[in-house]
Amino acid sequence: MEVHELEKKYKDWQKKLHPDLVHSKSQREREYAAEQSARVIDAYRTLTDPLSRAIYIVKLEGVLVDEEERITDPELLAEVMELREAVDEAEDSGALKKIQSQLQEKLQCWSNSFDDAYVSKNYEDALASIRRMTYYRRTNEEIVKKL
Amino acid sequence: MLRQVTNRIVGQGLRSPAAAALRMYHERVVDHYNNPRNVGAFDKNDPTVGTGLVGAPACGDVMKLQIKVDEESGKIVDACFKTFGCGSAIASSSVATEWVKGRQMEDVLSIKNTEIAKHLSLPPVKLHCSMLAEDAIKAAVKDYEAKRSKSNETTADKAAAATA
Repeated sequence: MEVHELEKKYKDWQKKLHPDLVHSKSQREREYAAEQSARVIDAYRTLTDPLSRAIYIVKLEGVLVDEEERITDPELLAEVMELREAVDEAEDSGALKKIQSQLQEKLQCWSNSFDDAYVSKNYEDALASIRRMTYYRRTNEEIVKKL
Repeated sequence: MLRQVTNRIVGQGLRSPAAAALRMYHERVVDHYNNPRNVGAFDKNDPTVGTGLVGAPACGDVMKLQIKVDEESGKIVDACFKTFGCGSAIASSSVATEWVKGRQMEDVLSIKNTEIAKHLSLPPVKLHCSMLAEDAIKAAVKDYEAKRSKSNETTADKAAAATA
């Protein structure tokens, strides 16, 4: 499903379920609508963020991310080390924003890789993409803290 | 978050039993976080240096541990680390650098993550941080040995070529 389709569906659901719009109905119906509305918001948030979407989609195929996995991939780790050090040493918000836009690019790139891997049922590569996106997301969190 | 915990512990003193338990639980981790030992970097191209680079992608942690080895004695004369991750990961790698200093290279391979975890009173959910430190020690030793055997090869090749 494309992202713009997602937004349209989200708005359609919210029109049906929004608590303000069902005030004339019974208590039970209002509660149900509120609960469903919250779930729709949750689903929308999960699916519009590339990383949480990726993790959710492979979960549907029974592929779970290992929370305690340890890796020794030298290329990936060296890159992440460099990024984290750059954030650590950045002196002003200009420098941080520059790294941030690099991270956005990388996130997009690996999100696309994920899509390709998922479509061809290559779950090894899909997980590798998730690994990368997690590292970039984490680095971005550090930037946001500093800004 | 660790700073808030530190302040809360220091603030409450001995009054609350919960704070006392929390303090003992976190004490060494807090210590290593506030007073990290051996943070730094050696030149990874230095032939006496072994570099171990490991990571835990689900947490976004990355850990680099380096050793400086005396070629003749095989003793680790210095160690440093650089870790980006949670307090437990930082403390685990800090402890690792302290423990490898002054020891034989082969010896440090027997350092177990459970010893590090016990020393820091790590909760079960943070055990993998100590595993990461154990991995980093092994990776650093492996890197040094690989570099050394590569340079020995080159020396042997040169010797063979010279006598040919």
